[in-house]
Amino acid sequence: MGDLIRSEEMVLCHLFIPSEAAYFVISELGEVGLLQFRDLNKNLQNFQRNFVRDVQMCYTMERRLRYIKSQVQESKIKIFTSPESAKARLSPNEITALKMQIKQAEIEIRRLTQNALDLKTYSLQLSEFKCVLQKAEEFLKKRDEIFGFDSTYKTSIDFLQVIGTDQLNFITGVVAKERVVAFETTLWRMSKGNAYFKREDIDEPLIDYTTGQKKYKTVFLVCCHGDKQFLKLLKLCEGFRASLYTCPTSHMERKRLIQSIDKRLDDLELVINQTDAYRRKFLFSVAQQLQHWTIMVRKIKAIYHTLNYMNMDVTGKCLIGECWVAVRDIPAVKQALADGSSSSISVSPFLYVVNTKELPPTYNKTNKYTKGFQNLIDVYGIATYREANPALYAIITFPFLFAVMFGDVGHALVMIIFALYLIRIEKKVEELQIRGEIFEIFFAGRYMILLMGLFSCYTGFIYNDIFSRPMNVFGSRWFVDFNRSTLAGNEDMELDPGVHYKGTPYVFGMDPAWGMKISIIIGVLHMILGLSLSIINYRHVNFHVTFNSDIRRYFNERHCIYLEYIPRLILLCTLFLWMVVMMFMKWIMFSASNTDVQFGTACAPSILVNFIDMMLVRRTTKAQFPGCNPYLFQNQPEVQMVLLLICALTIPVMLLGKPLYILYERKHHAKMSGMTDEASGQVVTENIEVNGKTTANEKPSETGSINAKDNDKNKAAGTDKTTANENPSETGSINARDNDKNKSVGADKTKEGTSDKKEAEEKENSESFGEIMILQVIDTIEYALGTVSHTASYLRLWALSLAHNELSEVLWGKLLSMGTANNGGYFGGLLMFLSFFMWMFFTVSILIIMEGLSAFLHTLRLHCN
Amino acid sequence: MGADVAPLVGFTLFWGLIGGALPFAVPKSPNRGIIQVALIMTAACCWLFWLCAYMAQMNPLIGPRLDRNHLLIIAREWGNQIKD
Repeated sequence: MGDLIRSEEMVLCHLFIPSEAAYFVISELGEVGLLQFRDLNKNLQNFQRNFVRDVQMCYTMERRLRYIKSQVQESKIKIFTSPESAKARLSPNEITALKMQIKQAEIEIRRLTQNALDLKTYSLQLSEFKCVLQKAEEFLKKRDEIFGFDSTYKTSIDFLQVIGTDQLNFITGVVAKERVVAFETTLWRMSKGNAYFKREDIDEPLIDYTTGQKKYKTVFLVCCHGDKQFLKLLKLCEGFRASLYTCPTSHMERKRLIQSIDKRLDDLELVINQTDAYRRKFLFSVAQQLQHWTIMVRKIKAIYHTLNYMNMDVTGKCLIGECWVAVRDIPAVKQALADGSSSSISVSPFLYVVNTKELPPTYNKTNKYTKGFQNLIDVYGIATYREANPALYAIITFPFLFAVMFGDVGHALVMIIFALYLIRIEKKVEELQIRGEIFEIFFAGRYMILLMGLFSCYTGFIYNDIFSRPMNVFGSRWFVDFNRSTLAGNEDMELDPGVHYKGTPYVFGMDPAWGMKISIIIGVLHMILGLSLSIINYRHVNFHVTFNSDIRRYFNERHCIYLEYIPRLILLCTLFLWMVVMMFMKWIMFSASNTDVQFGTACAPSILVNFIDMMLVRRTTKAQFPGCNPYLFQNQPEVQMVLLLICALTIPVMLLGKPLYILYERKHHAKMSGMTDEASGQVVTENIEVNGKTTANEKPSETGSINAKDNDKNKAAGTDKTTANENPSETGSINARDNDKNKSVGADKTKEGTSDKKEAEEKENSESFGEIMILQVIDTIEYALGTVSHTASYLRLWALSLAHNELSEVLWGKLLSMGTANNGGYFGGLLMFLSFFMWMFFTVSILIIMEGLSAFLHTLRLHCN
Repeated sequence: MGADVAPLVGFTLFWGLIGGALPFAVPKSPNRGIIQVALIMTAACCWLFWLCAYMAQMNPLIGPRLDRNHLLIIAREWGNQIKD
């Protein structure tokens, strides 16, 4: 896992697998997870690929599983998860069995759900009917009461019987409450006032099972005259989606009906409950398997996708695939191959390493601790193959820079506790797969947060800040020596370092006598830090790219060190390192206790003025006080001139060094390979054919190789050699279209060597000199201005730390002090509680979260230098 | 110089130990390289930070400006009474 210095060494491999074993082998390889397959069938449509039916089957299974999952979650059943994931090593029979299982489960669930729905709808209808009957009773009772008949039964029977026999039709039904008014009006209009309408609201709402919502309904009774009217009435009811129920005419019958409905409803409820219970049980049993199935299906799908990437060879017995593997992992891959093909296979699969000029992918092996940092660095851009990996240093520099901006022991402790909590629930989160965007972000960075907290604790100690209060651990180095009368007379006094300073500084951190941070000193400190960090970056980037032995560009990169890196370093040092040196000198040389006035406190020269004058090539004449030396030491102006001269000399070196060297090398090599005429002639033709810039950073698979192919054909001499290269490398299996594949399959190393050379040379020649020059100018300007701007941007470290301190002081002073300073009995207690709560709330939200995030952001920006 | 030798040597030795000697003691594991780099860089950064804070206060060119209340408190708490 360890080597994060640079990305892993990768090789391109060909995989030959016999068709019968293909599925198993790929499943084993998938479990190991160390290969990246290349799609050999890119030009095929999806439906033309070999294993399209199987992939289709997987999609169907996934769809079914999704449905099942939604049903399970709706019923609020917990899905059983286990930390182990199943292997998808299945025989074709087993796959079919799995497919059947899933299908059965889905069908069963659908059936049960539908049943439940049907039953519930039926019960709804029954309850509506019951309501209708009950209300009808009431209608008639009321009517009788109005007319004052003594025998209610008799009258109601008569009433309805009269209706029934005398060509009057009536219907009863239920309609939604919000529609009843419209219903009545339409009825009135339609029947021209000749219909008899009575309605009554149902008090409790009824559940509509299709939508799951409760609705208010109204019972109505309509009488009308004649068949045609009746038909129109029916149509109207249909339009308003009223449910109709036939109400029996006699009272006894109604009563009997109500009783039977009641009984039916009770039975129905039992049945519904049982159905529900059964459904739940079934869902529960399915839920046990659900995760297992989901993982299996996903693995099967992945296996078939991978198989689709591979090609079938001409005999039809073997599958061939291309993949990138890390050199370190080859034994593990071979082991997986052996595992996958254990049984009765005649030919065993094998891995064959191929030499290629292509740029392999960047692969950084990370474990759970380093993953967060690698991700962070990748945000800026993924490093090219075998480039030095900044993530290694970022593990420490990132938290450190953050801490410099955040230094406060109190807040740091809160951060540490939070990070430790996240780490503690690590396992649980992985298992339960708790998802939530913001939580995931914090969780992924838990180790980073821990480190940031620890470093902040340290810097907090040095800044002497704990929730913005300083500590006095080691004894302050300042003491007070005033008379009472002096104090009485002055509002504030400045402590004179000559008198009141004990002579040696506070041992660890800022002396508690200072209330506030000393801003300039911290700013300087940050600049020094930034300087050293950027030097490290440059040194490593150039260093490793140069001595890289894998992808060796034809022109040796060693010249880069002398022509680029060293001038850059010198530029940086002569200007900014000099400023740093001056700062250190000032700290050491000038003090209050020094007897020589020249080196006393009053005479300390301003470094800023000195530096500006140095850049403007001007002598500093104005000293702090008359009689003082404007410079730090004798001969300083001369030293500064020399430094400036050296710095100025580096610029032409950076500008012209590399292009001139490249020019020289080309001429040199053209002479060496004895093709001077062609070389010079070539330069002209190839310039015209330039097809985009190809540098080592771009993947030259398409453009670069096509370029090379065209140039190959155009070349007079050496054509025989190169075409001879291409022909034997066309093995039967691979599509003969892409020439870069041909080159990469090429078995003979020596032939490969010469064609490489030509290819690389053509690539180089294809960049015209003008282009190189322009690039170099841009590079130089970018670097020179960059040094100034990046150095200045480190001042944000100081700015943010100051802001943080001020904010926390404000919170303390205004909130907590006010709250706790109150000494009054009961009320004071309440106030203290409230003020502490407010203070804690603001501290956590503003200072820790907001400041933390902003410091994080700025640190990220600094790392992107 | 206004520097006390003891803290200077002490802290330099402390961080020097962490950055220079401890990396050799890291047990052989796949993460050995990372841990070594982390130790060295931590030691370097922390030492540098401490050094700057220390050196900046070594020869102070100005003193803090404190108001009367503060001065009285300092006088009482830190052991030097106000003379009359």
